[in-house]
Amino acid sequence: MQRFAATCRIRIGRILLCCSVVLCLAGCATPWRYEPPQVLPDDRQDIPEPEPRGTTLGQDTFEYAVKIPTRRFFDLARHIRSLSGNRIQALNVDAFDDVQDSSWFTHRNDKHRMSLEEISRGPNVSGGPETEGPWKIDSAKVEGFTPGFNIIDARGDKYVIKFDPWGFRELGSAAEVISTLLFHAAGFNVPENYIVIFNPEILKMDDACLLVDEKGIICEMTANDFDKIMQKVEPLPDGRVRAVASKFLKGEKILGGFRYLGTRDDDPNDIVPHEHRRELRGLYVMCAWLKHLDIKDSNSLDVYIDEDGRRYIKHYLIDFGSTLGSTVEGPMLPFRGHETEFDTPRAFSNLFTLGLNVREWEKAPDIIYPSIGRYSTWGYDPGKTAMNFTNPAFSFRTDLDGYWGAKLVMSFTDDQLAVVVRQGQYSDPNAEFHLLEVLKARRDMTGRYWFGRVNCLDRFTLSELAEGSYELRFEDLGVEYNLWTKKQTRYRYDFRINDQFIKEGVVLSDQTAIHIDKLENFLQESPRVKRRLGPNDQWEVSLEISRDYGQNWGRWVKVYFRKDPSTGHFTLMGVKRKG
Amino acid sequence: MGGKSRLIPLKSLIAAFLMLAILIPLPLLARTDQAISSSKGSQEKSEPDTTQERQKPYPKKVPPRAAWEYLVNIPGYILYFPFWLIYTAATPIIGWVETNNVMPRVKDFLESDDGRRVAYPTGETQYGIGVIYKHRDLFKPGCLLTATGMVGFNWRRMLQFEVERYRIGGPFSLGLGAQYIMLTDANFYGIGNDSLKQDRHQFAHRQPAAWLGGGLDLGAKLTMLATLRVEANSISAGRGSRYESITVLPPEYLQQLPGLYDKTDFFISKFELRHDSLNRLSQRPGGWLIFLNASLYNQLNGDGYNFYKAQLDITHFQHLFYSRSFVVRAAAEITRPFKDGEVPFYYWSKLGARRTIRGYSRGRFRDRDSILFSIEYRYPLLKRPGHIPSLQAALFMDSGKVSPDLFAEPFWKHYHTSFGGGFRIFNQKGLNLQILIARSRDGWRFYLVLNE
Repeated sequence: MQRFAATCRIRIGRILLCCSVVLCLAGCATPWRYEPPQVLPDDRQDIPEPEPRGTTLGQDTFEYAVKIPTRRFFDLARHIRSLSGNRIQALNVDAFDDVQDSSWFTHRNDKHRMSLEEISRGPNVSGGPETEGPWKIDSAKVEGFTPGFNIIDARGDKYVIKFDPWGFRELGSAAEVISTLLFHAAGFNVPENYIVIFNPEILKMDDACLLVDEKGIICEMTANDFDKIMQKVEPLPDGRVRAVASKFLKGEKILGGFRYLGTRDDDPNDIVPHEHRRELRGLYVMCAWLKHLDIKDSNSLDVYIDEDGRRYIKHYLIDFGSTLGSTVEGPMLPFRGHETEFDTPRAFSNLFTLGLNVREWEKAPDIIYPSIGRYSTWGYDPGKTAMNFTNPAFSFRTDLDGYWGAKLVMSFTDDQLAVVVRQGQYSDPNAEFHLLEVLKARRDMTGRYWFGRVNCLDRFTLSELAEGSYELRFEDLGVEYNLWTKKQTRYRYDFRINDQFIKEGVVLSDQTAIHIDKLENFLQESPRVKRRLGPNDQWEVSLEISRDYGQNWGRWVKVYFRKDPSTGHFTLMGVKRKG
Repeated sequence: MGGKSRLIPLKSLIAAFLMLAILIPLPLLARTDQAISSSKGSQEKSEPDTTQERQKPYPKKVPPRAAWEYLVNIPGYILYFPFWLIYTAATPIIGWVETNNVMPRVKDFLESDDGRRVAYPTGETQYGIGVIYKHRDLFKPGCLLTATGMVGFNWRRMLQFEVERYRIGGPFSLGLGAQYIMLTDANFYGIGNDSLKQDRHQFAHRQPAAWLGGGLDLGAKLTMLATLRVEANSISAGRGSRYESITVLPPEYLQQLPGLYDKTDFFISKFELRHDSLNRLSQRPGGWLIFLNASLYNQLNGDGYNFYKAQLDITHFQHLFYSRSFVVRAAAEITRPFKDGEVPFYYWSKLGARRTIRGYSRGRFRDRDSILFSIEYRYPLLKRPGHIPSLQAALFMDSGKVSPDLFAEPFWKHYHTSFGGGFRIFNQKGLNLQILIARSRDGWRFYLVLNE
């Protein structure tokens, strides 16, 4: 036995020795070089007509509530990555950790600040349905909490008409329109949504009008059914009714909702798994801000469109009625945003603590404005807002995705938010003011959270001052958006060439530019660098931020630049951020 | 030793390579990600609306994970496989159910348009599974018809039909009902607190019954009921295959069991006072539930069995904080013969089963009298108001005893105690599923109750 143990010890020792040797050799490899990610092809290329996805709402719910959480649980690689802190970063980002315009996303307010007129118009280009009527009812539904119609207006445009829940006038309609405008300005594809106030008499029943009754059964609608539906709609004092009109998306073919996992097999443009798309991961931040928690396939839509002669799939987010403290049945329930629908970990936690740990949401205050619902800063945690169901793209998100999403959120100015909230057409100015203040406060909480988790120095520019000397400029988004003061902020940078330190720990205060001297001067200062210089030199500036007057330093961002052989000038290669 | 010892033998070298093959990917995850991203398609952007462009091959799909992750995940895939099978089978079924409107159709079938008539499944450990049909506002507002049919293992069955709260004017109401119970495997362990678990025997108890009652509302929470009931009882050999029938017991023992060989029909006069101040639907459940009743049993087909029963059952629901609550219960029952009569053994007070001491089987302890105490702590696991099912946990302790005369022996002696816990899934639409597990001196027992 002793002999066996001794033999084992010797063998283990030898194995460890081998490992050390190999690892030492690996450490002596060439210096690490920054490789910018390859540019993805434009995903708006002509593709053959795809088939619609035939999943139902129940399958969707089953997938998100049961299948995906189980699969995630058994995903050992994901656990290893989480434990080792090396989560998969988004796969469709460019060298500057951003996404290019695609069939999913178009940079709008974050790149070029939209005018108040642009932002208040949003995607609404057709002007909405003719409220003079007549509106021909195409189909109707009375199932669920709120009734609704599909109508064709006098211009021949088709709309979904959705009403507010009884007793909560303006709740759903205002939320739908406001969120639509904000998601559109952020860059996502959304349908046209309008608030309409109309006389119910303009609604005309079609001969072959179909109805989904209270039990979900499709039948032919009768005048009696129509009356029943209208009885569920709370009228305004003047007898008219308020609703939201959502215009049907136009396209060659409606393909059903997109999945937040994997790719579409019949879409050759769709090459990046959706769970690793930056737009979808970063969407979490927007959703948390606006309390858009019902994020699943059925609240999205793929449309095969013909645009500029190219036919491809465009991906839309739809149905924003359950946002900003609203749901179809009334104000959002207090647990929403704090726990998922079937929150197994939370249930286990409650089980073992015997329920003595009272959850924050259980102490939620009552709603103040019925037209706003449960939307406040109370209990809002930008990084821990729970969606109704586990969303695979959201669960893969990293701090970099959060930072990207937070940039979208922070791009909204107070004026822009004010003009957007006005589109909700609240009858109570106090409610409107309350919503605006909450939106602003939650926006700042979002920014403070995500900008505090990564280095938020951004918008780097490199300009040549004189021949051979450059200036690297950057913007501190935390200071720009007034989340931190300039006074409390310090920057520190290291400068390297080919992974070798040239300057180390240089502290900048009150300036957001780094002067990079002539190369010859560096060589005089650091002669050891000389022998390594060549045509492919890679320069690197690593920047850190301190928000407490230089006491503690946060995560770094590295900026890479190199000489462009064609022009002979240095250009930015890309940015790498610790996240 | 000397001849064998090379510094780095071949086996160690291979082992080192294998280890490194596993270890190296971990610190290089970031680079693996880059490898993933470098496999992205690299088609140059160009004018797409040309024939050449259309003929160009589309870029390759980016793999969602690195190769090492597939390898590491193999145990995960194996463990997930049974779930995958179930999910793969379930998904089209869910789709079929939804597209064919099966649920609305079932709901349509089980529930009337006006919501007054409804049928729903029920189940519990005593009678098995079945269906409850309710017709609200029958004949008059407030009048309720309930029909229940249940069947369980060993062909245990229960059929019941009842009309309640038929208003006849003012606070007065009438009710009537009929019931057929066939318990094919009722337990008998002996008499008294010292009966042993291994003495379990079974008997079949058939009991058709019918009743007519009147109620008087003495306020919003207090009701007085008077019921006249007729019952017929017959005992036969138990059907349970695991335990011997009671009929195989020694004759001298069986002679001590009144009612075993006799068919006994009873006329029962029952008076009950009921106080119910329980706030059931609130997030702050609280209140009292008190039953006080006295029943007089007169044998119809003879004069040998005449007795009375008195029961007091008090339950208090105390809300603590944020839907956490205590439920405290005390109940006592006494059974006494009169006119030189006897009490059939199956009418003796009994303990065991879910409504008395959980953790013991039904009829585990039998004697003339019984007393019971129970304390239960309920707390939410997932608190979901409205139609979404909530999940609640409970921890409980039950304690009780039987006695030939409760007042003749020390109050604090001979108690049997059990403890346990469980879950309850419920919503405001009427769903109520309880899963309980309890531990007693006899071992573990499991209870499942649906829409009781």
